[in-house]
Amino acid sequence: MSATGMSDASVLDSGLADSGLPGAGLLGVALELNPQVALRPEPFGALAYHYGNRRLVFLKHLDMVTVAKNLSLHPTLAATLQACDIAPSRWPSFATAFQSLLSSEIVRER
Amino acid sequence: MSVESLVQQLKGGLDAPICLTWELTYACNLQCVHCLSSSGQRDPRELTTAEAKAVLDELHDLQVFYINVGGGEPMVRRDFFELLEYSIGKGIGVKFSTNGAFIDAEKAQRLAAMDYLDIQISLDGTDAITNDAVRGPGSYALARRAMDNLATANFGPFKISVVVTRHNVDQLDEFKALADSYGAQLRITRLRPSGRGADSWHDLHPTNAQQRQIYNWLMAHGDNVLTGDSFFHLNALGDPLPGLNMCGAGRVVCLIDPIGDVYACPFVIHDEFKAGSVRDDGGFSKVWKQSPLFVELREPQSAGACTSCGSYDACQGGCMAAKFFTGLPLDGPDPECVSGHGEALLQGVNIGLNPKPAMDHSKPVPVALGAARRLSVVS
Repeated sequence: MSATGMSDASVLDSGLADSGLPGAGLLGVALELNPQVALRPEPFGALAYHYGNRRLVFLKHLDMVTVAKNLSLHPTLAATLQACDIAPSRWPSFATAFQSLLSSEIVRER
Repeated sequence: MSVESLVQQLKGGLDAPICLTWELTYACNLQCVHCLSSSGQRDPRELTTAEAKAVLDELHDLQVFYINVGGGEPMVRRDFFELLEYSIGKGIGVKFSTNGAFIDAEKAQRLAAMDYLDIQISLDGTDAITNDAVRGPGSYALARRAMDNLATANFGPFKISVVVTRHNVDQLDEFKALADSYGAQLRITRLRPSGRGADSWHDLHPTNAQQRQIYNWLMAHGDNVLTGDSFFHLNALGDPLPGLNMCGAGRVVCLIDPIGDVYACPFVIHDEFKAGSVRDDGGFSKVWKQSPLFVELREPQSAGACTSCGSYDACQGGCMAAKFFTGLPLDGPDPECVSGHGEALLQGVNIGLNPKPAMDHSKPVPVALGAARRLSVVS
C-alpha cells in the first residue's frame, strides 16, 4: 500500500480496496482536501501532492477524484458520495480509501 | 489496488513527469571522479535566465510538483537564487543537490527562510580520506561546513546524499549516525558508469558480496533512508526493497541538461537517449508527450536474455544506464546482476568499445609548466 517512491517522494497508492476493511466510521465525518495539496489530472484519475509532507498519492479512479474535490461542499463523506452519484454498494471501499488519504494528510477533518 | 498495478500504470507513462531532474549548469568547483554529467566547465550554450524561467512557466502549466536541481554545482549560477525563488513562487518545489561549497552562514539563513525547498549535500565518505579520494581535496571539509551552517540556521532536516562505492560501503552505519547527529535524512544511491563514472566505475562499484551487504542494510534500515528507488536490481536477492520496482526513465522521470536538451534520465547523457530540447517548437511539453524515444520507452520492454531467469520479475533486468555505458545489451542483465550474469558478460566487452558520454565538460588537465613552454616553442 505504501512505498518510498521514485526519487524520494513518499508514494502512496490510494486505490479502491475491497470493501469490509476499516474506515466505514469515516462516512459520517466532515472532510476536506488539505489546502497544501494539489491535484494533477491523469488518465487513470489524479496525482495528489502534499507540499508540506512531500507525499505523492495516486488517486486511481476518476470517481475518487470527483469525490475528493467535492468533499468540502457537503456535510459528510456519505453526503458527498451521494451527491456524486456513487452507488451505496461502493461506499465502504471509498471509506477505506479516504481513511488512507486521511492518514497521509491528503484530506483532513474540518 | 496493489503496488504492482500502480507500477503497470506508471510504465505506460504519465501526462507530465513526477520527478524531473534539471542540471542547471555544467560548471563546478569540484571534479568528482564519478560525476554523472562530466561537469567542470560552463557550456556557453547554457539556458539564459529568461529561457530557464520560460521552462519553469511550462512546468507550472504541466503541474510538475517539484524539480530536482543539480549540475555541475547549481549554486555557481549567478541567477541561482532568482530561479529558485521563481520556481517556488510558481508552486514548483525545489530539491537541489550541492557540494555545499557556497553555503556560507548568510546563504544558509537565506535558504532556511524559504518554503518548499529541500537541500541535498553530497558526501561520499564519513572521513576526509574516503570522501576526498572521490570528490577531491578539501571537499569533505566544505560539505561538513555547509551542514554546520544549515544546522545553525535551523534549516531543518536537510539530506545527506551518498553514492555507495566499494570504499564507503562499510560506512553506511556511520553515514546514518552522521545524518542523525544533524537531524538530517540519509539518502544513498547507486553508482552508475555515467559521465566520468564510465572511467571510474570498474574501480569504484561495489563487489558482488558488497551488493548483498547493501541489500541487507537497506532491508534493516530502508524505511528511514531515501534511495530514489535506485537499488531495485538488488531485489533479486529476496524480498523487495521499499519503493517502486521499475525504471522510471522517460516514463515518470527525465533530465533537462544545462543547454536544454531532454534525456530519458540523469544517467544517460548520450545521443541515443536524447528525446529533444526545450528550445524546440512545442517546448518541453511536446518532447515529454510525443518524442519517439519516450513513446518507445513506455511500451512493454523485452526481457531479452533475462527471459529465462526466475528473478526477472524482481529485478526487472536492472538499470538501462548501467548496461549501456558498460557496453552490455539493454535487453540483458545489469552489469551488477546479483546472480553474476552481468559480470560474465562484461568479460566479453572489448575495453574501449563501450559507448562514451555525449559531452565532456571536465576541466582540462593542467599541463606542467615545462611541457607548456615546449608546446609554445613548437607552435
